[in-house]
Amino acid sequence: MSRPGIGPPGGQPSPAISPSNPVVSVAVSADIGDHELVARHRQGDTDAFGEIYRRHAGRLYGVAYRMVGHAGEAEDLLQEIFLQAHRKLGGFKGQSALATWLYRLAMNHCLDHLRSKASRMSRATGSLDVDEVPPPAAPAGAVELTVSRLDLERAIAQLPEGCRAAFLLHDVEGFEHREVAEMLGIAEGTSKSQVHKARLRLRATLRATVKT
Amino acid sequence: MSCDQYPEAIVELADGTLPDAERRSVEAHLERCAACRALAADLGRIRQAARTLEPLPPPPAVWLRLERTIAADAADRGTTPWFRQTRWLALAASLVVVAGATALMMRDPAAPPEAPPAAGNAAVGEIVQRIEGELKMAEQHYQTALADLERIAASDGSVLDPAVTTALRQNVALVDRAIVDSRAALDSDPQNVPARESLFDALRRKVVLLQDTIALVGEMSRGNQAGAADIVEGLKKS
Repeated sequence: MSRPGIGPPGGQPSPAISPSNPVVSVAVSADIGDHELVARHRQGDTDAFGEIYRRHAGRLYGVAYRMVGHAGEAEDLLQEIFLQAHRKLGGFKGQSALATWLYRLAMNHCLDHLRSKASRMSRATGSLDVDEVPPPAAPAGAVELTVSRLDLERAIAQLPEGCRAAFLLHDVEGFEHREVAEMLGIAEGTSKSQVHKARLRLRATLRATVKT
Repeated sequence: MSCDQYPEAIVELADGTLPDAERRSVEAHLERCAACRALAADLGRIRQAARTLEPLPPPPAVWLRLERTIAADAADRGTTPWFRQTRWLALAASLVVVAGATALMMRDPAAPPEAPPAAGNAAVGEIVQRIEGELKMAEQHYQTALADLERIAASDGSVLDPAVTTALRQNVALVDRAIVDSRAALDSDPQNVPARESLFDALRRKVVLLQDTIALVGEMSRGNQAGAADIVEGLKKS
């Protein structure tokens, strides 16, 4: 990952773990790595999972909110993501970064949620594969494009879900294409192509906003 | 190479992943082609803006619900519900403080931080008592305001579009669920700081939601479709 993650605010210094009682619950701090936290969680350290939540919840909630576009739904998804993480952390092999593993859980939940919602909508209104809708034409434009955060958030919300997921993970969250591919279960080339499509669509949408 | 073949290379150029030979070719093309130059500049700005989108602090109620669900799981397995441990409460309290502070900063970035009260040990009990009294008054104030807003919203409900009314009811139901969850946590442990913060957060959200509802009723009554659409857009995000 090319961007630093968010560290826990105001972390307390961590007292040493007693070698005679390695499962004793101790306060955890920012300098403890994610893999160490997972190991402590497995050993019964009750603080470790809370620290994992504190480190990753903000980013995962941001991704969930930007994927589904609704705070209530994003809250429910975040709860489901961490509940599943709590149940499955025992099986976390540590072959990838914990963040990658959590983002993969998050994206699976978000995409399942969106597909189930789309399926319900299509039963009611007829289906439309938005991935096949061509992007609006982008004028070359001599006017300099200014990108406000609000406009960008709105434009991201209009992206097809595959493009949106890849764009959020790569351009917003700062993961490499290799990591994005792993999280979304797609080929690295597909990740590049989805991010590429997303940027062009965003440009077209943002340019159209400037024009009007 | 024609312009049609450049966009992907331009994206890679912005990412810094284009091999040297291709990079030189694309840069040479950009010097000659204004359209591709504009594309490169736009993509660069979008990429830069994307990096400014920040993580969003989840409401404290999410942690409380998660805590309860995991505790129920633990109870099913016959293990100690870890949420009862003091350190979990301290952790949850710090999450609330972070989320609350972020929310306050988002509401009013210019507002100066409040000075912490200077108190010796002897005065602590008195201060806690006073804060609890104020919190009780604040809750009564919220409840009175909510009752008034609900009455007004209900009396004008007929002018709202049925789909919007359904969405509003769902949103209110969501906030109500957070209120019930927080109250339950507070009832089982009156000293539970995150539960109290979560309750007030949920109550504040309900006030805002109902105020938006009334504003929406007003805009629709006046036939201001643009104003109503703005509010509906905001409600969708709330």
